[in-house]
Amino acid sequence: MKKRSIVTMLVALALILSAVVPVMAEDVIKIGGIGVLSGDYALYGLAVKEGVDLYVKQVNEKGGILGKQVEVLWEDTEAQASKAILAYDKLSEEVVGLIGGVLSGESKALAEVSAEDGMPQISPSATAYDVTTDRPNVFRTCFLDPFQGNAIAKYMADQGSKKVAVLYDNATEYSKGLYDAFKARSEELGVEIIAAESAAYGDKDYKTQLTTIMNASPEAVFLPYYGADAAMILAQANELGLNVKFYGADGISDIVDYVADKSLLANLVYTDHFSTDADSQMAKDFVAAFQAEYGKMPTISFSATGYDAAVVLLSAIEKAGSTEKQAIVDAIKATDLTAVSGKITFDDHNDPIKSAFLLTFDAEGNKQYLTQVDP
Amino acid sequence: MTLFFSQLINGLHVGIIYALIALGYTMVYGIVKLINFAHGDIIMVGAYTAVITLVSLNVPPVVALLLTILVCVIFGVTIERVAYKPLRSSPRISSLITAIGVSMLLQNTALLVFGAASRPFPTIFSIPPLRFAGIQISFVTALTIVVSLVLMLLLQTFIKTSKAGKAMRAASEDYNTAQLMGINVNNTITLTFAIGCALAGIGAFLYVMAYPAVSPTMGSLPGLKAFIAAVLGGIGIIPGAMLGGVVMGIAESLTKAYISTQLSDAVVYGILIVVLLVKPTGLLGKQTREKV
Repeated sequence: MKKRSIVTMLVALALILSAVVPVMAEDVIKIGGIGVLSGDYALYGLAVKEGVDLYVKQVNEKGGILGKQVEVLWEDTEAQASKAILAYDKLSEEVVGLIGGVLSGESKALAEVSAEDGMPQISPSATAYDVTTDRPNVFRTCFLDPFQGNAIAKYMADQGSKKVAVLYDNATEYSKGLYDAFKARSEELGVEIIAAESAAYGDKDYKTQLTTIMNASPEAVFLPYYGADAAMILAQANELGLNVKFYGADGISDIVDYVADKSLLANLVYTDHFSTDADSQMAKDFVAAFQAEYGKMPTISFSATGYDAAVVLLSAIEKAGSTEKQAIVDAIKATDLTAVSGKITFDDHNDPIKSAFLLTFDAEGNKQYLTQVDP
Repeated sequence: MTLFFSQLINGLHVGIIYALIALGYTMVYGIVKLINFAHGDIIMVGAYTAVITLVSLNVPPVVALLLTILVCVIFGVTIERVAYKPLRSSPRISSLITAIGVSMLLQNTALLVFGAASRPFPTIFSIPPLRFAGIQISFVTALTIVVSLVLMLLLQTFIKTSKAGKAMRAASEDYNTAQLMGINVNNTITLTFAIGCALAGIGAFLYVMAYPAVSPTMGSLPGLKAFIAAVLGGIGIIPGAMLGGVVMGIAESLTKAYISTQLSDAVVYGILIVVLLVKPTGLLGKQTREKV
């Protein structure tokens, strides 16, 4: 028994050594990819991975950066912060920069350890505010929740809506955060909120609130909700005869699955990180290349923000002219480029200053691209 | 003022659905002294039947409604025969625990069969809201209120005048004496479950017409609210369940509209506590002397 365990250990040692040896080769630049790749949230992580891998492949076909090929080492976090830290410990010696995490929780854990080393880190999808706070090495390529509230206020003002109403859930951070940002921005833009009704979490009956809103006769109603709840609200609004424009944010994008009568969705406009119908040349090329590579559309917008994270990181390495961490971080901070999901520069908090995509639906429930808004 | 009436009607809509479901609780309690916690999940069974027959089998709404009632009655009667009847002479707590078990069984089976995601319920009537003296009433609301009132009247007449209704009243008054008088109490109990579940089936249909989402746990909340409505009105008393449901619905709606959304449940439960403190048998409950 003892003998066998010694043999096992030797084999394991040999395996570890053989895995370490090729790393010594100096002709590749390695970047780490850390995120959830299995389990309930795998959809998001895999979308990010597809976007990143696509850009890296394109770069390598053109000869790589700094004359070297680029390789991405992927690690799965299984949506656990502790696994994200383990993954970091495993990769931190070999990689020059990180893309990840995918979820806000794992990204925060990762940011905590990467900040100690000053490791350049770009999350394509962590929307929680404090992921980048006080961590000069951590960036992201997706926008935050408050940003969407601003974008919707701006779009309403552009559409000439002067009197609007809000129905929100003041027990969830997502809904409340969007409402607060929307309220502040709409006041600046001269859009008056004439009715702000809240609902208790998990409520199914919104008729009372909708009746109050209808009585105030707004021109538009903002619904910072996820798809399932928003579907319930739209059905009841229709039942009551409240026929105005409705607005939502990225959480509402799965509403199609919860609505039987798709024509209700024609009145809904919402913000998203990316649209496959965006008109910029770069977005069109991305969609075409993605389809050629994977045989499907990049319908989850994190494929686009993942692609952009790779664009920002590799461009920064190129610009820095070295793989020294601080040089790369400085180069990322100075980013000013047009990527797939729009023009990207970073603010003091390392959040991207970029545009939001406004989408709506046709009568069959297919997503329709409207416009891009810079709030 | 029109806003007030609109909110009153919103409350009436919710309340009358609570009342319809509460009838099932109260009738069963009246006879076997059992709080049938699986009653809320019968709503869920009915809702799934409705959505499957309407969307997947594509039958007309009336047929879907009849099938929904049929499936609910079959479920209710089967549950009564399989789970509750063998325990009729056991302590009451055994049946109560069994009822909770049946509720979990139904929910988890639905979870296994249909998955956790909710399904949308199609719009059946695309009729614009009715205008009535300046007040808008949505068609579904009007339909729900009318249908429920008719059903309640029918139920009252059935219990007051028919022979089976008389048997039910007798069994509820004194179970053993009713048996001695030649009433088949077992059949009467089955009939009670069948009627309760038929009403739950109609309630389920009206519920998903108003709140068009069908999910495995959808029955718990209306079930709980209906149970409270039954207690509020006086459990075991049929007009009490109706009154309790309507009072609760209106209290909920007016609290949401004029006080605070977050307080609506607190106000409803507050009313329940006050009523039970002042009149422990519920709004329409009668003081009965303890039989020695």
